[in-house]
Amino acid sequence: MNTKRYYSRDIDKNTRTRTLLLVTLLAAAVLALDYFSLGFVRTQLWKVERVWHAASGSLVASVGVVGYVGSETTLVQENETLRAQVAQYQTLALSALQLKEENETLSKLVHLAQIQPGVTAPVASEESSTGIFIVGAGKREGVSVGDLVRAEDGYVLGKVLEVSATASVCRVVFAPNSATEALVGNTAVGMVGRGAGNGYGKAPRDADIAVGDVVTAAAYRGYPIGTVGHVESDAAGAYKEVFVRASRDVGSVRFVYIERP
Amino acid sequence: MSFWYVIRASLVLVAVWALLSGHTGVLVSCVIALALAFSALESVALALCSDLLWHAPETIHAWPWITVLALALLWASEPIRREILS
Repeated sequence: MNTKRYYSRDIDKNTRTRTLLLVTLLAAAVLALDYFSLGFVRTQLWKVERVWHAASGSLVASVGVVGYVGSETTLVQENETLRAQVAQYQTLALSALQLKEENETLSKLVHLAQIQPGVTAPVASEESSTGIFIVGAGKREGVSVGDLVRAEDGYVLGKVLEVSATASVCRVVFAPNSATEALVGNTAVGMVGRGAGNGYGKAPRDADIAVGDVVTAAAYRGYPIGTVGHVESDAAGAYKEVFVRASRDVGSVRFVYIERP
Repeated sequence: MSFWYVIRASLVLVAVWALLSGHTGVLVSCVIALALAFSALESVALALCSDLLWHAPETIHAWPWITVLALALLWASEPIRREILS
């Protein structure tokens, strides 16, 4: 009797161990399947969970019970709605900010337009390594070769080189290796462009030039083309070196005023 | 229906609720209780479901910790259970 009982328990123990082993292998198989199918199993489970949530939510709503499940479902939906609203408002805020900046720039350009005839145009490209950039106005808008391209602060950015029907190719004032006869205060300085809005020139040692002085050029109708950024003078040298910087990088300007002669 | 059977069924129900409502602590507690007190194989199913449901496909390389925990507890408690049975 006892032998039979122990024998029966041994069978139970072995069966149980085998079942546990089977369950372990099954779990490992499910995890492996999910891993190698790149999340197929969990995607299917999510679908089931979504159906469950929808069903439980509608059930709770239909009987009018405000329980945990109902409030959670409502909160999840509310959260999603609010997230969508926040994203929408952020987009609107960015658009408004952009429009505000555009408005400020165009208002300043209007001031230029009241003084001298011309056309406002968007900048269509950044400055290339050769000092070339493109603006979105051409023959159709009355742009012609030699017109000046001015920023909203009145400084000259460059000159129109070529004109097509709807766009114009321009060259910046301080294009690499370009020569410009400039005037710093009362001193004439031959400036050589270095690209990226930088110019360099030599002035007589006793010239009254200081950092921040406005640089103008006759070739650009006497308009300002930049400001002195740095001055280096050597006591033993006959000249002082003047480094000039354009007021704006073309890349940071969105609209320009193309001024006719 | 025995008292312990009711307790076991209740634990499973609570674990299913925790699984669907995202209460990690409650679920892990239920899995531990089911595995240790009842050596219940359903604890593995619950743990597996939680690992699959709560991890996005982007985190597929993450370890299924709750399943590992449930299996480890079941295997660890097995010798003790054998001793008690014999």
